[in-house]
Amino acid sequence: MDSAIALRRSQRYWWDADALRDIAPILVGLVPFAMILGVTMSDAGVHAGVGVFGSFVLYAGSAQLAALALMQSGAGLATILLSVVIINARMLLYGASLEPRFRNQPRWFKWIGPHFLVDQSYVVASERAELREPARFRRYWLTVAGAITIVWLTTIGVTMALGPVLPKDLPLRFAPIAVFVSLLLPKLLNDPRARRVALVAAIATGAAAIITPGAALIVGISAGIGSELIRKGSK
Amino acid sequence: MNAAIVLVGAGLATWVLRIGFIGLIPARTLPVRVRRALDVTGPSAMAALIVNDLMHEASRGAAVITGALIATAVAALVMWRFQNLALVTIAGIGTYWAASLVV
Repeated sequence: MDSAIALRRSQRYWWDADALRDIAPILVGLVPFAMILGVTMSDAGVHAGVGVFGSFVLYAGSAQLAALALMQSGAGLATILLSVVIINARMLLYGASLEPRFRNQPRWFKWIGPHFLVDQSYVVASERAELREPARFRRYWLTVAGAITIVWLTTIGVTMALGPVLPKDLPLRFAPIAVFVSLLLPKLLNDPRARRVALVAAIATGAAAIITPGAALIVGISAGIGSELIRKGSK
Repeated sequence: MNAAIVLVGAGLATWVLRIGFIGLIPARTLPVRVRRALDVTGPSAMAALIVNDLMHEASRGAAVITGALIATAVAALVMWRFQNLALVTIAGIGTYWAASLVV
């Protein structure tokens, strides 16, 4: 009954209130990161229009920073693209994990929706079991994507046009960690399987961050999933 | 090299990764064992993201990572006690900021 009321209430608007509530704390943490990206692109002599357009097309901050650094060091296009693929390889796993939610969607959404797949959108969307209903997931996903896009591109554009509008060392950079902790902790407390894979992923990420920082996330996430695969295989 | 070409090329490569198991080779065609293992992508990703962010903090110096670890512990404690995302975020950022003044 409660879920039916919530569904009816959420269908009143084109946007999804739960999505805005979920993504708001994460948006706070995106601002300093977008500022760093804006400053980096300005320093590299990238035109503000190209910077904002490119940030929308790539839609992945860490990979964009790496691509810009490699471009400035004179690396070739193939090297840059290979680095971007390694850094963003985790998107493949996120996509596989969210595929059931995209399965019964209209064709346009199946091809355009995944463009907005980033760590932040994956984490909040994967946590909500009630998003199995296609229209509800679509509205949730587009609300999250819209909110991230507005904050991300506005901050980058303003920073490139006017310079950093806030100090770069704001404590807001801690916001994503706080959000990820709050989403992970209930799983750790209630699910032994989550405890096991999180431990494996954490150790692997820590080790990979020392050896090969650009690939730390894909190594860590793959190790967590891989440990579950091995455990199931041995049973 | 032209930044626009680099960013568009990188965007296309990333888009292919994003739709890889959604539109190109749907994940439902993967073996059942693999699909079941993908259920743990969420906790794996969150643990990896936390550690990756903390490793970034560590690269900024001992004082910064000390503050970040204290703030992470406070965030976990607040989550355990109150189960309130906004409160966790405020407590975490506040502790991180306070630690940066003290440590």
